[in-house]
Amino acid sequence: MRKTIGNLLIALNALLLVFVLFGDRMSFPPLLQSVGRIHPLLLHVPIGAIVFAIIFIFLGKKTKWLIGIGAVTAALASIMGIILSKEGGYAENTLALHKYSGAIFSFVLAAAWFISNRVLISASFILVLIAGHFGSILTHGDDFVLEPLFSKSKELKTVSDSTSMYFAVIQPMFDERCTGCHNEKKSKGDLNLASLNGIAKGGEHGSVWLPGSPQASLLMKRILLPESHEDHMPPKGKAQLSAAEVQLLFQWILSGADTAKAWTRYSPSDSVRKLAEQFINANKAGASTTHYTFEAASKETIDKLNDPYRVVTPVAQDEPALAATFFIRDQFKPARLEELLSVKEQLVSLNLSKMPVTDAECEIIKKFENLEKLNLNFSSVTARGLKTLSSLKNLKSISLTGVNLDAAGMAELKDFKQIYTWDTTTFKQETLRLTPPVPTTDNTLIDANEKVTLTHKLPGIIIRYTTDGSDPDSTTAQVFDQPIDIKGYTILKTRACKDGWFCSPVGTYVLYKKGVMPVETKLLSKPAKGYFGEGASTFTNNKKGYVDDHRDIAWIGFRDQPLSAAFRFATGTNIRNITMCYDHNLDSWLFPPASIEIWAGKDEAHLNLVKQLKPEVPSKKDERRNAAIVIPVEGNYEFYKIIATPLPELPKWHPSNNKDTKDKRAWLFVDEIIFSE
Amino acid sequence: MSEFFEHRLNVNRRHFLGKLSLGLGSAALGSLLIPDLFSSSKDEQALAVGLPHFAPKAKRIIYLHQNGAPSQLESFDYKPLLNKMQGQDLPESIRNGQRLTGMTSGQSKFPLVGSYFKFAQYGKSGAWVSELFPHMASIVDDLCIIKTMHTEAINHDPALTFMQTGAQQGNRPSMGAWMSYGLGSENKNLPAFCVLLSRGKGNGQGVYSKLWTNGFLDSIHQGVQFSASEEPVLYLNDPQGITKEGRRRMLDKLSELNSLGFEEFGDPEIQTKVQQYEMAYRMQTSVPEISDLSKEPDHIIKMYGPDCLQPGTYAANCLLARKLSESGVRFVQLYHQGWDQHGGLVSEMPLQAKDTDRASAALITDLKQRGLLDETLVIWGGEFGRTNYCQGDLSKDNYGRDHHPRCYTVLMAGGGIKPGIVYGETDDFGYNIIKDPVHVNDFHATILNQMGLDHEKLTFKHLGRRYRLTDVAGKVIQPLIA
Repeated sequence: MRKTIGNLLIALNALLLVFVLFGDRMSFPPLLQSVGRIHPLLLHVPIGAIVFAIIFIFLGKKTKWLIGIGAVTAALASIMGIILSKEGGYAENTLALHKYSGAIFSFVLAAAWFISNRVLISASFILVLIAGHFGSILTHGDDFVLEPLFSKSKELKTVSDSTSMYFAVIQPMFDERCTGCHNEKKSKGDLNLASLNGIAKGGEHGSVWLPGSPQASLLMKRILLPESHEDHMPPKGKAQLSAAEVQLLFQWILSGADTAKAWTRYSPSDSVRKLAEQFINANKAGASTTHYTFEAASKETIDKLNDPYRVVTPVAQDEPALAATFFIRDQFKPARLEELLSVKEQLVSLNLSKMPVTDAECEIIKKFENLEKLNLNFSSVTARGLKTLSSLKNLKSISLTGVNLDAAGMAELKDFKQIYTWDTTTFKQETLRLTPPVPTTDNTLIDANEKVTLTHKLPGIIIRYTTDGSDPDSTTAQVFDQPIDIKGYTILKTRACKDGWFCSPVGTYVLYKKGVMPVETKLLSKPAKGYFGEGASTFTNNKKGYVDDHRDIAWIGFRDQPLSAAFRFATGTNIRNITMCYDHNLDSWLFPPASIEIWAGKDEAHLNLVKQLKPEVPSKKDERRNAAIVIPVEGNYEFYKIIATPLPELPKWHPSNNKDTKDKRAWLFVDEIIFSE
Repeated sequence: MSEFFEHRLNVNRRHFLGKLSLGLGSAALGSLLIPDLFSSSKDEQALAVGLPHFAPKAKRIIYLHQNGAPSQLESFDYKPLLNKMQGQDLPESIRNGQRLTGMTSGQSKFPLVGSYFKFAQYGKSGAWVSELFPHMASIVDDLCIIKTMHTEAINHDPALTFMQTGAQQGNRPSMGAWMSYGLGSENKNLPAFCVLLSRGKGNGQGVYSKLWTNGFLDSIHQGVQFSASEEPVLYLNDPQGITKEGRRRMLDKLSELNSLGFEEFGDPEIQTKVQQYEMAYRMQTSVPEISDLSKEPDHIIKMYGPDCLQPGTYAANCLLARKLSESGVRFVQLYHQGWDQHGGLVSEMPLQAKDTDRASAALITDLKQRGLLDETLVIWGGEFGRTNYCQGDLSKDNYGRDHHPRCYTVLMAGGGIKPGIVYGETDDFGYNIIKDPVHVNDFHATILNQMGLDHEKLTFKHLGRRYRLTDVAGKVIQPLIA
């Protein structure tokens, strides 16, 4: 038996030590909270035990068993107390004193049990008095015992129309926040805020307020100091004035701090009256933090209703009122709305925006008697459903955007305080320009059997297009009604039109059909330093480069030597077009080639010049773009050699062509050479 | 050494102490308690939907950040004196030792320059708005114009970081991350914090992912950047050949494996990862619903302007922001780049205004008519203001303005903010604040207040101290609150 108690005491006190040291970083589940709440019950056992132990010592009786009971329950009560303290709401300093004194009491009492020492027993008696005292302050407040002797009778003051503003709101505020320390008995700083006489006398630093100048009033100065400031009132850790209270006090002093003027004699538009009314009305309603009178729903009930598609939460911490929102139209079922009836009293806000809600569901909504706010945007309710909802007396705001309401429906709305429906009057409905249609493909290189589809985000658009490089007009150009078959290198120009809108500007998209793959590609000349691309395969790897990024390895660049490359095809390939795709970026000195030679034959040793051309040199600065030169070829060959020479000198008009420029040679950047049959 | 063993050595001090205290406690409690009780409370901390401290005015925020700092002097802070004194030097008594950026510190003169653009008064409030913002002018009675914002930083990156995270250095959680941490996600099918980027035609400044970081908060609170392409969330769709059911089975198995991993290593990031997989799965339904514009009626499209049909534009982002916010996304952060007019202000600013004016006003109007403006706070503004003197050459129809931290204008609408007011006053030079300053910390405190959060109570303990969005300062600006 003795051993068990000994072990139990060690275990409990070890646990207590852990809780005292690490309690701040722990949190406890609800089950333990209930355990914690037994603290106020259990703590009386060790107190009783130690008191009787002292008596027993005087009587000369055995105390070991009493100390044992006391030590075990003291440790248990302390542990519970720490759990209870996690619920919060206690003055921090007092709590710490209570916690440490209580824990030390437990340790000392346990020690007293182990070594049966009377000094320790006496010490623990003193400790329990100290711990008990702090505990009583926590639950009952300062001066609980003596208060009835000294404070004046605490009758509930009722505010009538003739009550002065001072007695209606200001003095109650002092009573609540200040008079704990500033009263007749205990006048910290020589200040007594409990009566008008005391206030008139002022404190050790002077008078309390200067009527008309709140900024200069000592009271306001102290209140408005940062909370961390030493002189801030109420002191750190004590209950602070709310923002509304500060404002009220400020305005009241500003208005002259008349202590006799009845609150009803302030004009209803006066800010003092407006602020004061909040408090007066709150007093009338029972002065609780929430203005709702119903009970909160249990956590389990609320948890059960929550899932990803239906969210039910309290409107704020410690508020019984709930708000519910539904998400994802597909997931909505009337039954899921009906399930909310388990919180039908608490629900004050219901958001059913975009849910397929009909008049039938209004019968369910009707049962949420405390509903204040209802969002039925884009639902299918009609006048009949709205009529059903008219029995909701607390409903202040209803949103019906995107709901088709006829005149009867609109008539049903007259009883609601706030209604939201379409209203676009602020915006002039001017005619606007559309955006161009876009192709669905992100690629500019199209697969052999791929077709191009044009889309526009707006419904009801007519899309027109051309593939010959001309701008499509809005009346005669080809209408897009089926996917477009692109042939070779195509400049697709598009335009979107719709009634009531200006047609879009022309959208231009350069597309290439992928060509025949050569069996072998060889690079015969050396590309410019740093612009090797992926070597010979750059020409046929189906990777397009970005116009502005010529360091991209999709590009291969030439300057010192002309581009020279050989391509061998499988027997029977019948090439009709060669498309050389290059970077047209004149600012960056990237020009079309000065000349192109196509050599063809059955192998490398038997080649003839089959085509020679000199592309036009740009005559002025123009838009940078992915450009291409299409070269038609005839005859059936298996081997092609292409030589393209970069422009040897920038044209005269080019801004970089001036006497300071030594090397005036332009560059040629190619990303693909496409061979089409 | 095996990888797992190494990983165990990596368990940090915090985890160790957390485990130690719980472990000892549990051991001493012996069989009195179910061991899972403690760990479940830990889950609660990681997963619980936060609740506001008090009844909130606003549930959601859309922050239209005008990146690069638009000039207040050409938009909402009308200073005719500058036109009268055009070309004269800024009096030293006004500048009063204000530090300069490296870009104008070499200038020998600081010639004052007035707005090239005309101003007029609008609405019941009679607020002055420049001709560059006709649509914002038309809804001026819904706006709260704060003319006296001021900041501590003078360059873009620190100033922007300060506006977003409450600190000039990086790595603190962004405002949206704090909201996500404090209030949780309203819609479990979408991230609580979404980020949309667009770029205007003016001189641009970069935006970096550190601006929407979760900092030291759990990574689930990080902002999710939406892409400008047709597919706003990349890699969201299942690859070809994967069925919805197959994906579900894969995720279930994966989460089993991950919970084994969590039991083994106790790293809370593993749980975050599981949650993120689950959210991504649900986003496969929710995101297409949101990015689908085909159900928007014609007049809504017209209100935002046709640009809204082109993904990646400011107008498209405004419309997307409305749709996200309407679907319960706590914080939608837009950045529109291109407002850094050191030079060429007269030609660049109209382009920037044209990009943003119509869509910003449309967003506010759209929210209002849906009954959402009451519970959605819309914020419009940059990271600092611009100087009243010219940077570079001043000519009759061109000039530039340098960075100015001492005063700038920010607009707010909805979310329980007083509509139709102009708050604060700057001096006639538009250089110093003479009445009702609003510091960035105050701005944050006020925003948190509207969301039902006490800025002094929304804290996170990290590196031995409790951090706040407002650090150790900030007060709620009561006169802004309706």
